[in-house]
Amino acid sequence: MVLISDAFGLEISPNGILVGHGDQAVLYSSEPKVELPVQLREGKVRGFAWSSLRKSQRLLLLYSENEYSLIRCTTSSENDLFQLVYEGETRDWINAALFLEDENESEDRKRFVLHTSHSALLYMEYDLTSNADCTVLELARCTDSSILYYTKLHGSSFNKLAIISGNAFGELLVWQTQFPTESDPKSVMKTYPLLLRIEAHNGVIHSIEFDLQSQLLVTTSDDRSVKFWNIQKSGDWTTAEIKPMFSCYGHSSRVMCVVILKIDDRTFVASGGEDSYVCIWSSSGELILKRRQQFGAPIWRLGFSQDAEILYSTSSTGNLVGQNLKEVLNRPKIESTILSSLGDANEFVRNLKFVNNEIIVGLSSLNRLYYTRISPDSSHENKWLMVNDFPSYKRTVLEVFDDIIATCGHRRITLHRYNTNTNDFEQLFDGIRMKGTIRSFQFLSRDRYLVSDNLGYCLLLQTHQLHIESHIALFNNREPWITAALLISEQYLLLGNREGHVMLYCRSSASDDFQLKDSIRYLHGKMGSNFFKLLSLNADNAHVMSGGHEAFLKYLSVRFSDSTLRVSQREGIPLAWVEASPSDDLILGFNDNHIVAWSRRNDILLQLACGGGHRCWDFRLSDGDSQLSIAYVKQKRVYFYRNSLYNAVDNRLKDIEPNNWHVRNCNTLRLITPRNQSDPFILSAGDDNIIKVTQVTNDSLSQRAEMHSHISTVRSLQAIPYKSNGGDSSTWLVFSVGGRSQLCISQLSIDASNKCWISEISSHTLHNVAASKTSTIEARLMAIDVVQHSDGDLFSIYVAGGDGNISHYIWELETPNQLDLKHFVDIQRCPLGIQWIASKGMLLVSTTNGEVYGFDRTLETTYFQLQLHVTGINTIDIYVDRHLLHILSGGDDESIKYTVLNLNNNNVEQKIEYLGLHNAQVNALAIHCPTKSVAASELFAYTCSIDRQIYRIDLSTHKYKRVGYTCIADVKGMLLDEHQRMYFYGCGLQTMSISNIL
Amino acid sequence: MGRTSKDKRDIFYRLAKEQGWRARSAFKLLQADETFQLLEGLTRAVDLCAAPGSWSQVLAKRLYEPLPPEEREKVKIIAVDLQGMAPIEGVKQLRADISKESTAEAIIEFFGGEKAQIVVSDGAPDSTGMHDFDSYVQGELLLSALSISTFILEEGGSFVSKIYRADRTSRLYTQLKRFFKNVCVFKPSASRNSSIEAFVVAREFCLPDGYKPCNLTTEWHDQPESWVGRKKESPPVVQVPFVAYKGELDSDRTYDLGENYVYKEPVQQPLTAAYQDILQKTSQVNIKYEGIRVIHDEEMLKKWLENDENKSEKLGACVT
Repeated sequence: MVLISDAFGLEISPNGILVGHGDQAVLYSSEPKVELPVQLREGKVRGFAWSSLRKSQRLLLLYSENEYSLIRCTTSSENDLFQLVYEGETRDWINAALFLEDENESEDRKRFVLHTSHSALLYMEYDLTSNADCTVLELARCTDSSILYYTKLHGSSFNKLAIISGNAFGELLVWQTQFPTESDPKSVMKTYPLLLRIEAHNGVIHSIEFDLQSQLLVTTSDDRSVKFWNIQKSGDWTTAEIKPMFSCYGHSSRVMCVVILKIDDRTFVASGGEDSYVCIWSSSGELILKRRQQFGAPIWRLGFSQDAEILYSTSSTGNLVGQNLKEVLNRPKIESTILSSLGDANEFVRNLKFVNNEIIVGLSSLNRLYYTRISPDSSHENKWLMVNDFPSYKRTVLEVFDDIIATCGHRRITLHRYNTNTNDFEQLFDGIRMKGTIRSFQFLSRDRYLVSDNLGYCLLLQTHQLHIESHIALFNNREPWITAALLISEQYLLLGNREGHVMLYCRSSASDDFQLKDSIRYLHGKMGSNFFKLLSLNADNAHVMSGGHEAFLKYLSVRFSDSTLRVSQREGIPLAWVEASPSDDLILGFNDNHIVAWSRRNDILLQLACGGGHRCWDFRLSDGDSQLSIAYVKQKRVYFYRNSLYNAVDNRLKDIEPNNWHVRNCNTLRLITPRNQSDPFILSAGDDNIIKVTQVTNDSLSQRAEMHSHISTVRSLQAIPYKSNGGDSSTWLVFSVGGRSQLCISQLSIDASNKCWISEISSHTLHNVAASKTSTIEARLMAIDVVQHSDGDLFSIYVAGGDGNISHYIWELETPNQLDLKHFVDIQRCPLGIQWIASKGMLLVSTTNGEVYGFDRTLETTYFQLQLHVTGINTIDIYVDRHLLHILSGGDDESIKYTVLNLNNNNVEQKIEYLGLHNAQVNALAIHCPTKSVAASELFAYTCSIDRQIYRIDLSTHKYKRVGYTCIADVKGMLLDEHQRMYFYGCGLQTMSISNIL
Repeated sequence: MGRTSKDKRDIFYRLAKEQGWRARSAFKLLQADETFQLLEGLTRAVDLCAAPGSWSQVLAKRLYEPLPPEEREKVKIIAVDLQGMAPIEGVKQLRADISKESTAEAIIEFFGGEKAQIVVSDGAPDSTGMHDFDSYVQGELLLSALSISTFILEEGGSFVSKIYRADRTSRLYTQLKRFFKNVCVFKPSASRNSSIEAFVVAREFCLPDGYKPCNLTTEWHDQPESWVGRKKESPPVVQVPFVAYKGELDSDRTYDLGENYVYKEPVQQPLTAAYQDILQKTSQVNIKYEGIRVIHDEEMLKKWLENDENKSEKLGACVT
């Protein structure tokens, strides 16, 4: 079973980390992870509390909504044993819990408190030696009973307990279990006075943390602030004083959680926000670190491991992420070291490059070449040395590849080589090769170079004597020089020029000149590509990554058979522009005036302030791609930065497998199975605008590919198997629609080793043909289905738009940018679903007013129009049995309808409504035919609703029963695969096996 | 995307501006009234969680404005919310907490000792992004509205409230059925199809024999036997009849603006927002890389930082 769901509970203890992952509770440690036992609990785990350790055992209390569980943990030399001993429930939402150490407590009677969201505290006792229920010793409640969003309990005994809470009005409330104002003689209920009511925030208080020893209390809120308070308490809590000191703003949305960190006798505060950022503040309120940590998913909880000095966060995707704070907090900020100046006061370094991990060469303002060695000891000052035998002329270019240094000027090129043994530079070449001022020198390898000048003259040169290998004919543009070059093979050369065009050149043999074959204009806008990176190469094609001045990487596909070049994919990344892709995981680029290192595995790793709009910089990745060095010129000075990129966190914990699922709602999901495979793949898309391809194997997911074509939410997608070119790979065409009237068509291939490749074929904006004179309607596209014609390259595309139009387009693979609108019909409602029934040549359309239409393939004939629900049809599934069409539908009206339609005469033969199953929207259902016989002797259905309940209906006998529940709180759909496995999706993903719930 | 996009994609947003409603939610109460004739001939109405006031506008439009001036004094409409809102003719504002009994007393006093004929509530919590908790809090708001209604509603009166249909809906229906003979759930076409929002329409209010009005969210405190117990299987589903509004307009549909379209500003901008303070600050300072600190008590801060326990670095310059 796979579960991707919110992780609301997080508890750091010396022997492990407890995470509430959906309704599961998982213990991570240096041992394999342990899933704690559960019996009847259905709510999401929100918190934990440990009792003290006695006789090698202790109790763990976990709470979820109004449920709580007691688990006995027995510690032995080998491992910990967990035994569920009690599951209870209360009458209100539990938002805090704590074990107490009362004097009267015996070894076998554990006492704890449960606090509920209206300031009611249940003082409980559980006897480990008996199987009796928990006993309520007291119901303590406060005179204020407003709804609380957060509560913190403080104190080790009941009589010294303090309850500090935040409510929806932004008030901080403090009361204690002393000096009751009212006692009920009939029960053990007592009422205690509210001691403090402080107007703390403009919005909801989401978290509270305090440390009495350092007199610090911190609150976070809807108003995006992290507020620092001074808290002093001389006696009991009636003497408490809480006064505001300052508020910090660093988050761009709600601040959900906060922890106080004590490191080396210093105090810090860490806050986590809905914006996916973790901020670390000093005790004076300075922002020390701000880092996006969960790929855009809201951060729900923070926890700090004191022993390891690791800050953990959990998010809406259920991922647990750690950040080692030792390095972060050892220095005040991420800063660069200023290297020493050149000897001459009037001379400065204006461009620089790394030669190796220790040597940097710098081109000076007087056109001299200097070099310096970076000492591992950062306190030792570097020294710049001049390169002898460096010709004196004005330089326009400095480039380095391995130990080769190239400098260029007007028509002239000079090559040097750095000799590691002698620590000296030797001149390899100095001479004239070009006609104008050289603007770019591109290393294709150690001894092959592509050089271009401002006159549009471009040469491919080879060997260190710069023999001319080929002339390159460039466009005749104002700024024609090359900004990126890649020799794909001996025959193919890929170039990007300053104006943003990408050009594919080809030559028949090594002795011929390259000829322009294909081009893409303005690949990254009107600035050139910064780099090309060869990803794969075979006899038929090549795949290249390109980065430039936009927040997208573009993946280019070169087809050798006809020398064509096209964009096959794009990938959105959180950088304003991209400079380099030094490893598979790491991308370097700029945001504003910061150099940013972004990781596909770890999100943003580094943001280094460098002054803005920077061009003269270089980087070096070393120590197995884990250490990053950066050097740049700013205001005539050279700055240097070096640090480890990654935290040594994962080694401590086992079995933490981050999922790459959508960080926002998944709206649509399809299952595809490659040829000769048994495990399906998931095609999914949603509000993060991304289409994902994920492999499902037993209890785990493995993401294989992503498509970033959509500029807005994706509403619907369809995958059509397509003839492959042979071999063991399977190919699909993926058609997707969503916001901004966007229709995208992609091609997905999966080979025998489950390697996926997805490429964009075309993207269309479908304007309403009936647009009025005053405006153009860009309706959301709600649904899509596709029919492949007998001519395998011809497709009918049916699109349902939010403007009420059902449109029929003809699309041909050979002309992918052309869509021919054949016909459309206006149903006067927003359509919700569309489904092509191939065996009947019928298109089914469901709407927001509960109607379902049956159209012919041309949309010109309406076979039937049925009112199935009084409000929208949120989900629909069909089963065709000869001339009978079985329709099962769920709606916003909370009902499930079963309709059997005779397609010979379009009459309704059977109409059943299932009442009493759900009392919320029915968003998910699937028809299940366990036997694959032709006749529908056995037909079942599974239904799910926003009420989270799952029902099984026998469509023959019309009996139903509840079979389980889902963790996906806003379920948007479900699917059933051939392995009798159910997939529930929405704000997360959950798979269940039918055999496990029956 | 332009300012007209929302007018195209949300027909009720456009109509609310054209017709002068403060929020599109006005149509939800209008459609409920059209379906159930809730407001016919009424003179005493309460709007809970009233801000920004679109439902109070509907009450005034239906109860107060149709009457001739000399008869308008008979109509008493009171809007209750902790948040302020701009005045509406014919509507009295009461800034109070609806979970307090003193609020109920103030309402009855406003009605001159009589009780309300209808109580309406469009209350929704500040969203946390945690779906389960948001549904729970909305349910508690409904119970608070129902609690005060047991104090202020006359026998035979009506109650209309927003409800989030989720996994705890049954407990809300159970409570409503204790006090009303006729309970159903209503989905206006002004609510989007994908929204879990709906409205309970409860009519024929009747207090059970011997029942004393109280806060329903803490009523369980007086039932010690129910405080805790072993976790049981899920209780049976409680359902009430579902009624949908039959209308031509579709809130999910994208509509053409038409040739006679003229853009209009919203009737009333939001009065308050939790993050209003920071919006003003971030219009001047970018918080993308640097934080903003606002000092409330500089002397206390200095004194606190002088304590060695609290130092994490030297005190630097602050942005105020």
